[in-house]
Amino acid sequence: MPFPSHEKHPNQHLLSWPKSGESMPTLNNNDALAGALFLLALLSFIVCWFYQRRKKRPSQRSPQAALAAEAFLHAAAEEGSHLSFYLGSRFAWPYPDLSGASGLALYSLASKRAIFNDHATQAAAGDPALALIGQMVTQGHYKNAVALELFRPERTFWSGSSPWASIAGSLSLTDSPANAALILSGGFGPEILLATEQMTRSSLPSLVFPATLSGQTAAFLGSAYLALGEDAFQTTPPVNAAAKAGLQAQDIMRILIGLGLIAAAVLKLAGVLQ
Amino acid sequence: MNHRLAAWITLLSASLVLLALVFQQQLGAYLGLLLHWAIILSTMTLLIALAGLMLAHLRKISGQDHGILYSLVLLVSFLAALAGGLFMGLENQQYLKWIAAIIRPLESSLLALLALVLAGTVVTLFRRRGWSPMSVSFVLFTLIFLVIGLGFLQGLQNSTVNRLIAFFQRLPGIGIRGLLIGLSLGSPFYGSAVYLWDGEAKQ
Repeated sequence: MPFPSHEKHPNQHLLSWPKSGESMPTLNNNDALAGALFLLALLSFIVCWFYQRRKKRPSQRSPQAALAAEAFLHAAAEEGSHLSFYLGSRFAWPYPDLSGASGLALYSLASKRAIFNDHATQAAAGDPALALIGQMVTQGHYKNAVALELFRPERTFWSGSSPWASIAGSLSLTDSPANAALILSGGFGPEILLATEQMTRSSLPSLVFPATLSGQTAAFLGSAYLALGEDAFQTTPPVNAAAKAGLQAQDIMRILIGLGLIAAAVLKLAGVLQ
Repeated sequence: MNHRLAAWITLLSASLVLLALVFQQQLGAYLGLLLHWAIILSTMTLLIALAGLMLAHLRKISGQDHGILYSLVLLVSFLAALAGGLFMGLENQQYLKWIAAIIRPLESSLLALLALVLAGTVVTLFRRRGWSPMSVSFVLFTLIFLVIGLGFLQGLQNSTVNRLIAFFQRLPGIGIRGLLIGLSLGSPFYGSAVYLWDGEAKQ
């Protein structure tokens, strides 16, 4: 990283690229526990997926923020306005974090529907790789599009090389007179408050799906519509079996982890665990 | 290219890297190779995005669009930084000092602005979110940590107060772990949903 940054990634020591000749971190008990939890989650997901495919029942619950995003998409189409996206600044550079790509699904959906809005959907990203993938998403819709001007890849742009620079660069999105709402989805920190505050001052809504802890706290303060915890990854309403199974499996894991934590606390109090 | 094919290639590559991480003794050399590829690829994306950004601003200037001044400032700053880096070298202390002298005040002013916005949003929190258990506990714990952070209570040297402070200081750690577990598990669920996408949601 060329310049010292004020904000460090919480898992920087694990996620930073190893220098030449430096070995990878070795796995410890915590990693083994995380691996076991992951396998348990995968198993519960597969069971729920088969169950959902067989029963085809409506979803038990739908995250409020995902429903709000759907409502914004429809409202923008009716009014002939467009949605703006900020895809976050943490994906591949300088510290890799795949959860930073969680905004792409909703962005893809919104840019595909640009034909109904009569306005191109636009997005800013604080990570160069994320900006390029965003352009490729639009390019995918552009390929067979009728109204080409609504699917221009350059509508997705890299807004800055650091979290602060990127949020400052993305503020230009909120200026557009046809802008109906700002959707912030992906990896970002408290800097998003600057964007949500600007939207509040323009009397326009902002919707936040933060994939980081500091982003979740900032979103709670700055936006009326937000997804907390793991719901941050559920950016679209669960209409297919896989998405419904994901939500169901999340609920199962919540109960299992809760019970596990209570059991561990009891064992600790009883002196069984050191 | 079929979007599912790209997704499956990503899944396969990620699984291979994960396996190489678990079996480091046997596959360590390949892991290093893969990581170096990733670094080169990541750097290439940076260069391509940079070129794209410069071209976009050049188009803006040539088309005399709205905000041409900002584009000019950006291009001139970029060229000055590039020229400095090329002629003086990236490790040159004078060059780094010069860059930091511009970036630090700018980022600090944004940070100061954020502090003001934060204070303002906390004041309007109840108006925005109402008197819910979440908003009340948020403000209550903010106040508690503000008081603890000031350090006056620690100065009392009271064992009960110190135990209470230690208890409160442990709470964020527990909450952070819970949220991190949730986020870490939410991410594979989201990924699995993408891979098992059955086309129902495409309409």
